[in-house]
Amino acid sequence: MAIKPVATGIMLVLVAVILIYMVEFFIPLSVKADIDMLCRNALLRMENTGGLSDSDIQELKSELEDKGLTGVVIYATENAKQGELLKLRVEGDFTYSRLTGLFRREDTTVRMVYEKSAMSRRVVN
Amino acid sequence: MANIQLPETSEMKGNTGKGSEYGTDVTAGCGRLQLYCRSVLANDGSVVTQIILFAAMLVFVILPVFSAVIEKYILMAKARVIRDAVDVTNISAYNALTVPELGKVMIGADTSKILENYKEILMLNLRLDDGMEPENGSIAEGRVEIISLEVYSSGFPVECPDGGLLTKPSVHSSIRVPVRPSLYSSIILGMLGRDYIDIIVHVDSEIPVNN
Repeated sequence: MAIKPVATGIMLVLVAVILIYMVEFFIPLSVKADIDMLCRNALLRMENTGGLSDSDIQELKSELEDKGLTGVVIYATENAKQGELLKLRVEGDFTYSRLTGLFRREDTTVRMVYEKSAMSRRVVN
Repeated sequence: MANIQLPETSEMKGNTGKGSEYGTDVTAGCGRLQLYCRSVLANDGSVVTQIILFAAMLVFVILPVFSAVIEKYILMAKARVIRDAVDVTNISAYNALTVPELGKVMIGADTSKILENYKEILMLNLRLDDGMEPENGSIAEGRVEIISLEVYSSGFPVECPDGGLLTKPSVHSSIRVPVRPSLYSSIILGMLGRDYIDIIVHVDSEIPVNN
């Protein structure tokens, strides 16, 4: 019996599984980077306008949902005077399929949270 | 297409087992490929040696390289999160200043309340306590240190303490944040008697002058 080709095949499959398993670690990291960028833009808008309106919140929510986030909860200061503290807190679940066994994939859910504070902007000139 | 008989090579001479069942008649274009496949698929040599070599390659080459890449990516992601927090903090600290202070050419951390504002907002954004130690859920793993903080509002171009050239009203800050590595690096650091990697984040944030 040709043991060597069989062993080679098994080892190649094992290596492929390990590589896929490791590469899939990057998926939530990449999504978190995208979500942070969206939230950061929203915070900069808040800094400029002194808060986040309902329509801005809905817009942010739909952008986050487009990135794959579910159950999005947004807490944002609505109206702050210039020089006052602004807060933005965004929470949501990101579910993705990942390899959990040799030939098994399962959905995994990661809770993602963004929480930052800023000051409402003071006009300089 | 004409079949040709390949001359016997040193590789073929080594194939004395069942590899010969794959035949030697090959087309000219596929000759080299077939020779390679035959040497791989040939049933000679020790299977145990092959498995050991594969395992060694996995443990000593593939896993360390991948873990190094992942480790680097995680550290870069942490640095990015800290940089974003510092950037927001820079602008916010400036926004909290009063008009007479904003009229100065350069506002140093010692001569203004900007450090107080800066620390307050940095503590919120990095989840730190009053002593700049990390609280639960903080990205920092140890005491965060503010290395430098300056506000430049005129006299451009100027050079910040870390060498960055500023041409517009800006806030410069630099902080040191200890973070703990997660994979092989933590073992290496442990052997060196250290627990953390210090990430030094330097951010020059331009001040928005118009709404």
